[in-house]
Parts: sequence; C-alpha cells; structure tokens
Amino acid sequence: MAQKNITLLLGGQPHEVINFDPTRTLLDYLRYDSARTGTKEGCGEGDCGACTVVIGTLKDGKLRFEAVNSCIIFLPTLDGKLLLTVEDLVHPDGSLHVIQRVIADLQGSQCGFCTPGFVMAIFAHIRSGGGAGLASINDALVGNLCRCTGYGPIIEAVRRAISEQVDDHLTALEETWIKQLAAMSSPDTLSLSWICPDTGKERHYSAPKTTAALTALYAAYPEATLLAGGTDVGLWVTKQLQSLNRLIYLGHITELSQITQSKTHIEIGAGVTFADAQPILSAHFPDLGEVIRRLGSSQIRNRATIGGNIANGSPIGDSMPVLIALNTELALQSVKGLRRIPLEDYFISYGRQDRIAGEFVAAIRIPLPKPDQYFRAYKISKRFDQDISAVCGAISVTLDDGLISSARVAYGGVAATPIRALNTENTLIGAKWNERTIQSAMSALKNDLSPISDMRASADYRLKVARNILFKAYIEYDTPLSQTRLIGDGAAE
Amino acid sequence: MSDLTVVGKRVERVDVRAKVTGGAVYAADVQMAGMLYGKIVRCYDYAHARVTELDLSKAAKCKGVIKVLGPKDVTQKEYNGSVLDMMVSSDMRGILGDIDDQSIFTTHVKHYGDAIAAVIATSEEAAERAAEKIIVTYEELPVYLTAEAARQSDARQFRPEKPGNLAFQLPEMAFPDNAYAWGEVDKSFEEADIIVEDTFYVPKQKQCQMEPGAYIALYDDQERLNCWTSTQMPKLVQKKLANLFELPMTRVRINATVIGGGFGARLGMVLEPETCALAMAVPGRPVKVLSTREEDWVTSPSRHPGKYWMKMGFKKDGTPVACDAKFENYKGAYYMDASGTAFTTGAWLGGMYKFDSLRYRGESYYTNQSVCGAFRGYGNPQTNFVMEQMVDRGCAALGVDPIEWRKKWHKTIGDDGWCIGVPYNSCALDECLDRAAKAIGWTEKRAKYKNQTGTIRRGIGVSVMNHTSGAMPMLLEHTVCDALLHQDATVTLNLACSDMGQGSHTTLRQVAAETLGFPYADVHIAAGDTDAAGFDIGAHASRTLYVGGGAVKQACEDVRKQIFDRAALELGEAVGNLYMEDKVIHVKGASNKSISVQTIADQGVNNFMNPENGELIGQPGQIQGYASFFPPHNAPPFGASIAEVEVDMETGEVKVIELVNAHDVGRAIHPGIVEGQLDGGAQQGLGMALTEETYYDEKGICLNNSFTDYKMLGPSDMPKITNILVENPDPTGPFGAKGVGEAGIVPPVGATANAIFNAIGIQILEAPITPEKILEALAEKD
Ligand SMILES: Cc1cc2nc3c(=O)[nH]c(=O)nc-3n(C[C@H](O)[C@H](O)[C@H](O)COP(=O)(O)OP(=O)(O)OC[C@H]3O[C@@H](n4cnc5c(N)ncnc54)[C@H](O)[C@@H]3O)c2cc1C
Ligand code: FES
Ligand code: FES
Repeated sequence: MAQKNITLLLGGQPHEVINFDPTRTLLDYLRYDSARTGTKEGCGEGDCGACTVVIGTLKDGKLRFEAVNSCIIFLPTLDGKLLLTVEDLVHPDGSLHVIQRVIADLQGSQCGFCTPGFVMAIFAHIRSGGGAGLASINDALVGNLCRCTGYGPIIEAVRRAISEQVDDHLTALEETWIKQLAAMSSPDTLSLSWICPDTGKERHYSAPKTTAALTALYAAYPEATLLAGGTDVGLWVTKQLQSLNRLIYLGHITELSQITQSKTHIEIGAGVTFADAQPILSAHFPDLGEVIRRLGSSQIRNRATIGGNIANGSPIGDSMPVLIALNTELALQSVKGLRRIPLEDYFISYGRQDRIAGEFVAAIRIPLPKPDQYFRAYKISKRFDQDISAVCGAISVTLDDGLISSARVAYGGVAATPIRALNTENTLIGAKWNERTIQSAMSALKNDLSPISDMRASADYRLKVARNILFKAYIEYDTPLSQTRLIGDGAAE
Repeated sequence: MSDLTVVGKRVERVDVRAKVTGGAVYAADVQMAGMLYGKIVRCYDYAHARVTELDLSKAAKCKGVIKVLGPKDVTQKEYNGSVLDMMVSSDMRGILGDIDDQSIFTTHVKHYGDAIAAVIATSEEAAERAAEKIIVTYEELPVYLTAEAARQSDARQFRPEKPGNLAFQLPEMAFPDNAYAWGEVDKSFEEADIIVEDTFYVPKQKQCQMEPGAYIALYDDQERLNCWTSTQMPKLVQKKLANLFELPMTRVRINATVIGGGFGARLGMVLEPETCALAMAVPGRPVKVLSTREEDWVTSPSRHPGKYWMKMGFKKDGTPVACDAKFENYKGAYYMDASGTAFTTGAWLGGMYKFDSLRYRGESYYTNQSVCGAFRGYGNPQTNFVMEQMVDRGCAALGVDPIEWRKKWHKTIGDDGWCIGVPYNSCALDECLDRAAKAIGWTEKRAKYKNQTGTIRRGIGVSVMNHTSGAMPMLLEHTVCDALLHQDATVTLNLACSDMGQGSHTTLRQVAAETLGFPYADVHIAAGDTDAAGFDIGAHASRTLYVGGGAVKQACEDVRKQIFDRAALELGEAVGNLYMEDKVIHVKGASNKSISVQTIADQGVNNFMNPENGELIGQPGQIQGYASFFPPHNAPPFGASIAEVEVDMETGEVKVIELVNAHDVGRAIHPGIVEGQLDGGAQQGLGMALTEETYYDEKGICLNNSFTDYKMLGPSDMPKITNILVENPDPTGPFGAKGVGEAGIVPPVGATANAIFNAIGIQILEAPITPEKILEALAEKD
C-alpha cells in the first residue's frame, strides 16, 4: 500500500506531512501549512529568489547546505531532508543572526521583500565554504533579484559576514541534525498517493532508490513524468497549471548521481546537478565550466540536472551545444538494456527525442581533452547569468601542425533543436587554422542554422552573433593576450 | 548646523529588524478567520475585443465557490486608477480633461489582461479552478499598439470624449499652441550654427517591485469598507474608494501593510476596486486577492513608452539657442496619468539648460497596451535618454567637452525651474560634476578612449538631471501630522506618509527627534491607518521627506513650543531665557533653576490639585503638536552620473563597469538611506538603458510579463558604484533636505547611452540599447 506521509526536519524537529498533494510546492507548504510567511513569493518560477530556503542533505555523514527555490520544488522531494527558513536564523533569544545583522547594518534591505531570500542564499553560501571574492559572492546571489538596493550593500554584507566568522546557534545543532537525518533515512522506494478532494482524481508519487527499481517502475508506467531537479517540471505545475498525476522522482538514486573519470573520458550520471558537475568540467574544459556557471543561478544549479537539461530537449538548453561540440555520448536505459548514442542524434525535431517508452537518460560520457584540441564556448544573453541564451555556441578543433584535422561546431538557440553545424565543420576540416578559414566557416554557417526571431533576439542577430563567436574563438587563439570578453564581474573589485 | 545630533546619522532603520527576520507582514501574509479568496478572470486571448457572451453558471456550481461576479454585478461607476485628478483644483481638472474610464469588470477588453469577472471561493485553488470554468466569447477588434496606429482616421475610438484617441495634449488654455515653451523657437533656430535632430524611442519599463500585488477587503458589520493594501497613497485611495462605492470617508478604512517596493506601481489604485467590490458582495467575510507576477505586470501601470523627437540648435561658441521636442507616448488602454507624464517629461527638459527658446509638446495616445502611470522619475528618465544624447551630439559637433558644456549652460539659482515662473533657489550641480569627474578620472579616460581598436572597446559618458521635491506648484502638496507627547515624555507621531522601503519612517523620525531635541529612541512614527491619520497626498514625486518632513518638523516645533511655554510659566522666566539639554529645561545662567520635560509631560496628563492650596500642580492638558503643512517650494535636487562601459564589438554586449553618481541632496538626513536610493535608482536606470522593455506581438499579447523574459539587472550585471553626496542645504527643506527618491534612476540612463556613444562612435536611438541594436548599428556604419 502506498504511503501517505513524508518526514522532514523543520525548525529542528522531525515533521511528518500527511496526505498531501505530491505537487504541492514547498513554498505553499511553508506559507500556508506551516505559517512560515517569512519566505516570499515573487514570481513562482525560480527567477527572483524571494522564496529561497536552504535544504540540508546528509551526504557521507556530513551535512550539506544548498539554497533552493522553494516555489518550484515539490514537497515530497523534501523527504528525509533538513529545511531551514529565514525564521530559523534568529537566535532563540531573539537577537539577529550575523547575516541578518550585517544586512541591517549595511543598508542591505529597503522594502525587505527580497531580504529573506537573500539571507538564506547567503547562509548557504557561507555554510558551504563560499568565498569573499566578488565573483564567488555574485555566483551565490545572482538567483536573487532586488529592485531597491542595487545589490552593492548586500554584497558588502556578505563580505562582512564572512569576515566576522561568528558561530551561530545553528552550528551547535548540526550533530543532532545529522543523527536525526540518519535515523529518518530508509532504503525503500517511497510511494505516495493522494486523492484530490475537489476533483476526486488520484495522484501518485514514487521515489525509487536504485536504477533497477526505476527501470522496472518506468516500464510499468511509461506515461509517468520523470522528475529530477524539477526546474523545468516545477513550472509545468506552477505556471502552466498542468495536473501531473504520476511522478517518478530520481533524486534518491545514488547510481544516477555518480561522476567517474577514466583514462579516456568523464562519465556523469543523469542525476548529477550542474553544481556538482561544474568543478570537474571546469577543470577540463574551462569554457564549459563558464557556461555552467552562467546557467540559471546557484539555486537552479543546485537542483537542475544534466540529464534533465538534455531530456527536456529544449533548443535553448545550454549544456547540449557545448557537450555536442565535445563529442559527448548519451547513455539511455530501459528494461531492454543500455544503449549509447552520440548526443546530437538524440534530438530529432522540436519536442521530439530518440527515447522509447520506459527509457530514461542514464549518463553522459565526455572524452577527455587532448593536447592538440582547442575548445571554446560562448553564451550570449541579456543578463550575465539567470537568463535564457539568445545563442549558445561551441567549437572544438584538433590542430595538427597548423591544419585542422577535426572540427565540431554546435549551437543552441538557432534551430528547432540543439544542432551540429556540419557545413561549417566541413569548411574547417583539412584547412589551415587561420583567419581566412574562419571567414569561410563563418559564411558557411548560414547553411547550417535556421534561427527564428522572437522577443529575445532576431534571426538576423542570432546568425550574426553565431558567426562572430567563431571569429572570437579564432582571435582568442591567435592573440591570446588581447581582451576579447567583457570584464564581467571583475569590474567592481 | 554642525550641532545636529540625530540628523545626518546612520541610525538603524525602524523596519529593518522585521524585514531581515521574515517578520514583516506584507499584504499576502495577512491571514484572517473566515477568509475567502477572489480570483479575477482576465482576457489573455485578445488585446482588443468585445465580450459577446459571458457564462458564469458553470463556475458558480463549482465546489467551494461562494459567488461569481460579472460586470453587471458590481458598481457601474467608472473610475480613474490614478490620483492626479485629486491633486489639482477642480478648475485645473477641467482644463486638463482628466477622465474616469476604467470599470471594475469590462465587456470591452482594451488590453491583454483586462478584467472580465471574478470568483469568490473558500480557497485559492477552488477559486482558480472555478475561474477556468467561466466561458467568455469574444468578438475580436483591431489592435492599436502605437500612437501612429491609434491616431489613424479610421481607428476605432477608445473614448468618445477623446477624438482621434488623443487622450491628452497640453491644453491650449494653459499652454498656448499646445506647447510648454518660451522664446521664439523657429526664429532661434535661424541663429543656430549647428543643428542636431532625431527621433528616439523610450521603452515600456516596468517597476518590478518585488512584491506582487496583494489585497484584502472586508465589508464589516458596521458597514465599513476595510482594505488592506500596500498602496503608496492610503489617503487618496481611501477617498477614491469612497467615491467609487459612494460611501462617506468615515466608512472607508485603509490599513496600509508593509510595502514590498513601489516605484510608482502602487501610486493610486490597482486592484483595490476589484477586491473591494468582491468584499461588498460577501459582507462580513474578508476576501483576499493575490496577483500572480504575470497578472501584476499587466494590471499595474508601467513607464510611458513612446516616440520622442528632439531638435537642438547651438551657436559656434556653444550657446544653446533653441530646443524643440515632442513626446508622443503610447498611453495604454486607460487614461490614468495621461496628463501628468505628458507634461512633466517636458518640464524636466525645460528645467535643465539655458536655451534661448524652447518648445515642448506632449501627447498621450490610447493604445491596446497595458496601462501606463507613475514610475520613479515620472518622465525624467525618458527625457534624460533623449536630451543627454542630443547634447552630447551637439558637443561632438562643437568639439567641446561634454562636462564643460554642461557646467556652462545648465540652469541654476534664479533661472526658471521645471515650472516656468518658479525659479531655482538652490543648485550645486557644478560641484556634482567636478567631483564625479575627478572620482572616475574623466579627463584621462576621455583622452584614452579615442581611436580604439580590437574586440572590446571602452567608453565614458556623462549625464545630468534636475528633479523636484514634491510637485508644488503643479499639484497639491499637503501633509497633516499629529505629535502626541506621552506622560513619560516620549512622542508618537501620527501621519499617513507611507514607507515603501525608501526609509521615510526612519528619516521622518530623525527629523522629529532632532526638532524636539529628544533622542531618536523617544520618538515613534505611527502610520498606515487612515482612521487615525490626517490628510497626506501619499508617496510620490520625491516628496515624503520634504513635505512629510516639513509637517513633522512643524508639529514637533509645536510640541517644543508648548513645552517651553509651560516651562517658562513654571520657572517664571521668559521663553527666550530657556534652553533644553537632555530633556531638561534650564534657565540660562542659573544652573539651579530647571524643570524636566518628563515633569511637564506627566503633569499635563496626570494633573492634580494641591489639597493644601487648591492650586493645580503644573500645567494641565496633554501636549499635542499639530501641523497641516503646505510646502513653500519644491527644493530642486540636481545630479550627475558618469558611466564607463565596455562594448563587445562581436556580440554587441555591453557591460557598465563603473558608475559615479554625484547628487545635490541638500542635506542627507540619513546618508545610508540616501546612498541606498541612488544605488537602487542606478539598477533601474541602467536597466532602462540596457535591457528593460515590455514586448507585445502584433495582436497585442504581452510576450514578457515575467522575470523569465523581462530582464532587469542582477548582482553580477551591476558596475562598481560610487555615490557622492553634495550637501548644500536647501533653504526650504527640513534641515535643508531635498527629495532623493527619484533622482537616482535618472542620470545613469543618459550616462550609459553617452558612454556607448563614446565607445563606438554611434548613438543608439532606441532604449533599451540591446546587443542586437549595437551590432546592427555597427554593421550600418561599416
Ligand atoms: C530560473 C530558471 C533558470 C534557468 N536557466 C537555464 C539556463 O540558463 N540554461 C538552461 O539550459 N536551462 C535553464 N533552465 C532550465 C532548467 O533548469 C534546465 O533545463 C535543467 O537542466 C533541467 O533539469 P532538471 O533536473 O531540473 O529537470 P526536470 O525539470 O526534473 O526535468 C526536465 C525534463 O526532463 C525529464 N527528465 C529528467 N531527468 C530525466 C532522465 N534522467 N531521463 C529522462 N528524462 C528525464 C523530465 O521528465 C522533464 O521532461 C532554467 C530554469 C529555471 C527555472
Ligand atoms: S518566487 Fe521567485 S524564485 Fe521562487
Ligand atoms: S529591498 Fe526591496 S527588493 Fe530588495
């Protein structure tokens, strides 16, 4: 029989939540069911950060704190987790937490509506060992919008809080939390079901803990919605008001969250979040790291998975063009077994992917960089982070004594799917790596791309910038010391 | 004034503890027993259509539904959500031609998101589900999104009183030739050696206050209409609702909740009429209406977008001889602030430079966009984008330094301000320019950025502005303040001024404490209940500290005077011989004669007779100060910004890397709060220059009414900012203060545009200056 409850740690106490809609958002649970109205709703779609809370997860016997957008998180995914909201930070005697105090002291709050979200984002940043450098603080805060303060005072407050290094009353509780969380964990698949009192319809939620269990479950219910980070799926409920009546959550499957490195490649499980994938990918492919760094915000990257980005198949997803340029292979799993295909083959047409019923994305495999490989990637968007790209493009060439022996060029945002620019690659392969070759590659590009005009950018701009990216990649090789990228967040230091 | 003890100090904000702990109660946080939920049904299929059929019956039968209301079930009175009509005399109202043209629910959809009907239910979910069951049939009508389209002779008319869909133009009666003007422009141009001219576009920027609209209303058992709202203007909304529902003001009460940002979006009424109409349909039950972000976007006003044409003439020596301009704005579906912005946009232009002659025409056209109204700066950012680029183009043609030219030709003390006939009484713009130039290294960088090559180009640009502190003499400026001295010698001030986060309750409290000579801790500001507070226009036009502060100061002076009068009686000395120290009143030169304020305050309340002689001990009567304050002027704030940018010639991307703002603030009552206004203003001004615009498709469907697709700047998009506060006390402001609420947004707009001009040698005529427009312009130049 399906369970009707989950358990989470809230306010330091295990809380059982009974008989609830599995698509109820964490934000609604806090504001309406727990009377914790300190957490705010500014957008309901992960863009403003007003709803930021911190989730604590037990990992390898340690607590790991992550800021997340409670507005797009479904409540049952909190099973077995610690939840901290702005109310928890105030000391029991009523005095302010150091983060709250520095924000107050340094004019980091005006209308205050964004403040609880910032407080929690900062808490997560500091608790996960985040630095006091501007880039590091920005990375932690870009998921939070503020319309009053211009952010400067808040950034200053983070620096001050880090430098004061005050232990708060929560630090002492961590040992207890770890014990409580350990006691709450269970090896079994969590299954919930709920009947909507107004419509009489039943809604199911399962969270298997192994790939085998997932494979079987998905084979039995191929119509189910797979839920990974929920940064796409959450919005289907909060914005498109869809009724998702059968959810399978992947977040508890350890096998899907593995990162391994062999002599030839890096393998990343579909359930690995961008936050977790970033360090290793940055180390091998700095530009891929940079694209990931600008993908969404830290709250989004803490949840969003690579598998979800790929499976969703959006033409404007950021990881795909870059991964395609890097010759990434996709592993798909179903009861029929595991198959591997080149990533670009997965995207058939807009909204259609090469995935059979009951099959899920298991992992990706990226060949390790070679010494003669030159790789660049660019994300073009209005805002530096937390913005959908107008164009995302990547180029990878192998250079053999000044000749291009192989080339892979891929783009997002310029066609109905993420695509490889084959004509362009052909002009490159075998040619000399010089400006003339790049110019002819740039002209060839129009035969590869079919961009559209929308509110984000015109087709013309997309084509132009897709071309210019190639030029930029060349310049960066040719004159490595010239400045080719905007100063970015170095500016304010 | 160096002996100030509270003014000028960075005291803790009155509201900040509640805000950092999550304890501050915003409207959406208010929960009441028996609460019902309202969901408004809006038209998201068309921007212009007639409702031919409305079927509410299915929705009414849904589980949890209490009532469903259509256009016929609510008052048929029309209203104007804006409040300008309440700020001018009735004569002026007639001349301006402001009209009421909004209905609570409509059968004639005029913009994406117009309200058709509503459901009241026992839960939000039930209300939402039922709302989906309301069946509306529409007849599609032609859509007009621009002034050019709306004024076509065959265009359908939005309102019979406004032929040609011209909602407003400067009225002939007050502005001959429909122009705000001086001198003879056409003749002056003949004297010009250099003429620059162009047509610009300014965007439909959205306030994006972080708190989406939330409202609660309750028609209670005393038949009083209570409304919990985060409006910027409790007293005017009280009166507006009283008018709309034909109730006396005693039966309408506004409970102002904590405001999660305003910037003009909450100036006047937004969904108060709808929420109150729902509440009146279910007497005794509170009804809550929450706007989603998307809904808030299309129902609350935005900045006025439109075409802005400008022509300037200069003599070879730089003399500005003539300026001619016309702003045709795309007003949106309803009248709202059609008159106000059309006028002020030109007023800021007129208030800036010493042109021999100037002519400005402002016209507001109805369009099928969502409404426009007040937004921080009220026309000033639009003018800044255009005027400052034109000036820089002139300077380039003249071969003069843009800062030197501005210093020479900006208006100053004695010149007519933004309102012709009201001269400036203070101006420290030269100091602003000098200090900003020095802080950023203007001269060196201007020289360095000539003749650049390569991918990344840098540029540096300047912009200046004038603004106002309150809208006197154009609009009514009035605040009433009560100051009650408690028996323990602390003071509670009662007034209706709202604090939107700009810190006004903190600065007003500082003004009060300083005036009284009391510690900051001894004063409390009670605000937000219209039952208790006297009149106040509301938070607009950078006026709360200037006008509200004037009222607070006057009420506190009244308290102080009464304290001194009583002390004089008790001590048998003339008031002139007394002074106060640590809340004790002493006689000059007689250290043994004193009485504490505490004694006076206590005796005023707890007054008894001396049983031995039958005389009263001390002076009876609780001391209360009062002010009904009308400011004498509008203390003009001036400001300058210098921005430095980087432009990527391959992608068109722009990054502002440094911004220096120097503002003539009169006196910074709380320097931290003033800097906060400038910092926050900069985020909005840079956004207007670079990323912020509301897009519609050709059918008038709004394409980006959300943070996903409307991009305002985030932390990493912001430059390093330096704020310089130039304190040159205004003779009329409380302790010399000027309004700074709006100033911060204005000059970053023009400074960014001019910095881009400096970097790439091209002016981009349409804001926001997107990467796409830059690449296009660069391609054209090649
Ligand atoms: C505010 C915000 C900002 C964003 N910014 C960006 C951005 O800059 N760049 C970008 O590319 N994206 C962005 N996104 C989109 C989103 O974050 C990414 O697409 C993310 O990678 C999705 O991963 P997820 O784990 O959250 O997927 P989910 O939402 O859980 O799932 C997405 C889809 O994939 C399916 N799915 C998930 N895992 C699997 C699997 N293993 N096998 C098969 N199907 C699976 C789901 O059923 C669903 O159809 C943003 C989203 C938000 C809300
Ligand atoms: S409410 Fe905006 S991110 Fe959640
Ligand atoms: S303080 Fe108002 S939004 Fe940040």
